[in-house]
Amino acid sequence: MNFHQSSPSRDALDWRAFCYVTDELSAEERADFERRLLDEQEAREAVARAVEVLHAAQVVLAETTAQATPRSTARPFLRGFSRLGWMSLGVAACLLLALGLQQAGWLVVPGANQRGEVAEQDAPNHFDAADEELGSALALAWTQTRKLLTPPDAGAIGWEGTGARERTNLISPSKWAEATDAASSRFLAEDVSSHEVLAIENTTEEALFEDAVVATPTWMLAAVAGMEQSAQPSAEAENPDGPKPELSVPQTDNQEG
Amino acid sequence: MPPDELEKLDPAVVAALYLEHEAELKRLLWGVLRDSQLACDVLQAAFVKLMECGHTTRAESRKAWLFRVAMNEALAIRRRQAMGKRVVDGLPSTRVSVAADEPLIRYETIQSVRRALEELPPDQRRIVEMRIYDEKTFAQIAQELNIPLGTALGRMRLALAKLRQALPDYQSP
Repeated sequence: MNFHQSSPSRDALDWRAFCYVTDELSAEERADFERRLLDEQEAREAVARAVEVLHAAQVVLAETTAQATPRSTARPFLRGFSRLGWMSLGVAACLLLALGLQQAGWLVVPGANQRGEVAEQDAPNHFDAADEELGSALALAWTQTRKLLTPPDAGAIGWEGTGARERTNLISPSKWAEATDAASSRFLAEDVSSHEVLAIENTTEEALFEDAVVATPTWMLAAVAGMEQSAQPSAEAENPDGPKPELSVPQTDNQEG
Repeated sequence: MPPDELEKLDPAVVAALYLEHEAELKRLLWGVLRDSQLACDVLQAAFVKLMECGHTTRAESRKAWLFRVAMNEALAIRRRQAMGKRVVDGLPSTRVSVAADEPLIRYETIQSVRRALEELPPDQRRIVEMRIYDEKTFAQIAQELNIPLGTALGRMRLALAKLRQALPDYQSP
């Protein structure tokens, strides 16, 4: 495009430098300008100015565009979480509530009598099965929720804990902004929630459960274990003369010291 | 101390020159190379050369000497890496590189340009957005806005002059 003025004025030079930086010059004009860059300090400074204006304007316009983005699309992580994540949390909460009610004797499960006690002959097998089922359901719910709550590239932007956060803070604010921008744009570009849901659905239940055994928090495991303990007194209630379990304190090597 | 070393440029002078011109040099090199890492490499090479033979230059012309050395080195790198054709025929995006080691612009520059952008007439600002943010060519902008190419160029040039004057270090000619 031969639309550039050949005036030696600074304005014309700046304009040409801008066109050079934004690739608006023809090959011939570019070569001419680069020859000029070798000789003229003014031309070199003009290129530096053009880059400065260009990048500053890009930053400002990017900010303006980001601010104009609706909230629902600006925070796709939470939007994605609200779909299945809250459902999984709800399921987990309901299961825990059911466990609590059952322990308190307010919830009658199939196979139990009116007082919430289980028939003697069925007690061990029934509670084993129910315990395992509820435990698996809890573990699966927890795993799904955890996967939804963990951003795919959390490690890259330092969401994995205070240590990672502190390391991240060592970089410059611009890099931090770039990193978070990159992560945000990834979330903006993709439907993360459906992606994550598909990933979870494609995973076999066995694999999920194996993962859950490792990752399920202790409080949740304790809730499941509480069922086992509640089963024993119920069975014993039917057989009060049976052997009572010994109350023992776990011995450790450190106790003597 | 050997006489050769006595003639070398004082490291304090080199450091002062670096502090004074690093950012501007990097912007120039980015404009030529479109690669922040390469720009940093060339910047380093230019200052190594300054330390080696800067003592042969006059103090008042050292900045121009430094910029010329950097420019030569940048063009040489482009030739060596056979980037020239790629750069000329299909320049990479002019967006700020995410991998940049140092920011090319300062906070006060962004603030100044923000104010200047806000003060632009809407028709000029629209051209700036389409050219700089959407990265459309002037021909595309003219076609999209249904205006002559000269009008699009004229508006951009006016806007650019205003934005340039907002730069903190800009000195009127």
